[in-house]
Amino acid sequence: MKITKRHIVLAGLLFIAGFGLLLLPMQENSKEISPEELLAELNDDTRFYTTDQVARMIIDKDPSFLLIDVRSPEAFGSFSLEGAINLPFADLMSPDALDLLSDDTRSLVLYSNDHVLAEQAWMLLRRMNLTHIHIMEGGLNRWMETILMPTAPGPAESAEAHALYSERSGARLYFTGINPAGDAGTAQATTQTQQEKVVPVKKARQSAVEGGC
Amino acid sequence: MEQKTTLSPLIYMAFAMALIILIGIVTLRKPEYTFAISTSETHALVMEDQNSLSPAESRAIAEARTGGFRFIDLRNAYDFHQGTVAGALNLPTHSLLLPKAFDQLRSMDEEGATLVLFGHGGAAANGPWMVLRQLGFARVKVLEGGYSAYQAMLKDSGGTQEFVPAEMARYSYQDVVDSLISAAGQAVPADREKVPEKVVPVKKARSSAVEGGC
Repeated sequence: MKITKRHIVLAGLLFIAGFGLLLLPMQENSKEISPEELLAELNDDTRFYTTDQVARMIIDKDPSFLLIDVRSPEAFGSFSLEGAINLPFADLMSPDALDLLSDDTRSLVLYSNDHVLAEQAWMLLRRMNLTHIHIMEGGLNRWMETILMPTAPGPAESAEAHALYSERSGARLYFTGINPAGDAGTAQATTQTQQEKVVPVKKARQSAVEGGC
Repeated sequence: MEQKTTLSPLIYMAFAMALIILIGIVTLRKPEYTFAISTSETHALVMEDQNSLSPAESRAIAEARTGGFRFIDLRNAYDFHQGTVAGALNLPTHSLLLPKAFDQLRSMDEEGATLVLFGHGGAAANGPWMVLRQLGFARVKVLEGGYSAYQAMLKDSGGTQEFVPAEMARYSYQDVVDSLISAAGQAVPADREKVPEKVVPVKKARSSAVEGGC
């Protein structure tokens, strides 16, 4: 077959298109969001979950969430939230970690002692345009303050404050098996269910029970 | 046949031109701001941990008017006028990348100044700090604890309150549980529950004490 002008032009066209492909790797970063978008995200609090929301997720065993502890393995070993997995901040950029983090079938909730470290991790992941990552606002310090040691509202405070307090007291009972607040009536009523509810919280139980011998 | 062979190369050429122009447009579109460092570089940089000034250090710098430091108040103008760090410049978080604010930041950076960012609380300046670092600002720090910690330090002239840096575990779970157990049955005074010091994991000590008890 004779090579016509048309063949040459076609080949040239393919060549140009191929050259365009060569340039594509330069555009690889386009998966990332722009600095403006990243800054705008900071003015929007939707990245945060409150400790109350997280407590509710754990108690409900909500399967659409995964808690990720970004603290060190030692800190994770001494205390962590139920069902959380440990992904230390130092390992955040490892291929395995990124595999896990880019699975968007579940919402991921990052937490640390405050939310500074968790937010730094979130900033990096958000820049990579991952949108299913959230942060537990206030971290474990606030978890202890609000869920494990809620402050009882005064009699003059709003009904919402009282409802929140009773919700938190329930959550504390779930997580520690202890009900120290003076609501004597409900404390008696819940002692029966307390036994079975307590089972998953091993750490709390160990010292309390063993000490009794 | 003659006509076809002369016409179609022209069409192809037109296609090729269109393609080249398209590639040109895509590659030439230059965003206003680009990240100067990659995510893994940022990750390494965040772990260096020399990114913050304590309230006391900040106060010393602000009051001595030491050259080379510029405080940036990220709160809104209302809060800024209620009181701020001496000599601070008000650039609310949302405005940082507007041309006017960014030019100011850029020129301060070019003069060799270290920018010290602060917002309300400890975490407020964290995000803006990371944005600026990723845009290539090399000398940016965060005022630890934000303006609330700074203000608390100013009010606390006796130096009785100890400043707790960010990301420090303020409570030990074991202590919390212990205090809950000991308080069980009676109302807990709200203040007593707070464990002021960071406590080294008590778990090991505890388990041996229990073992000894039997």
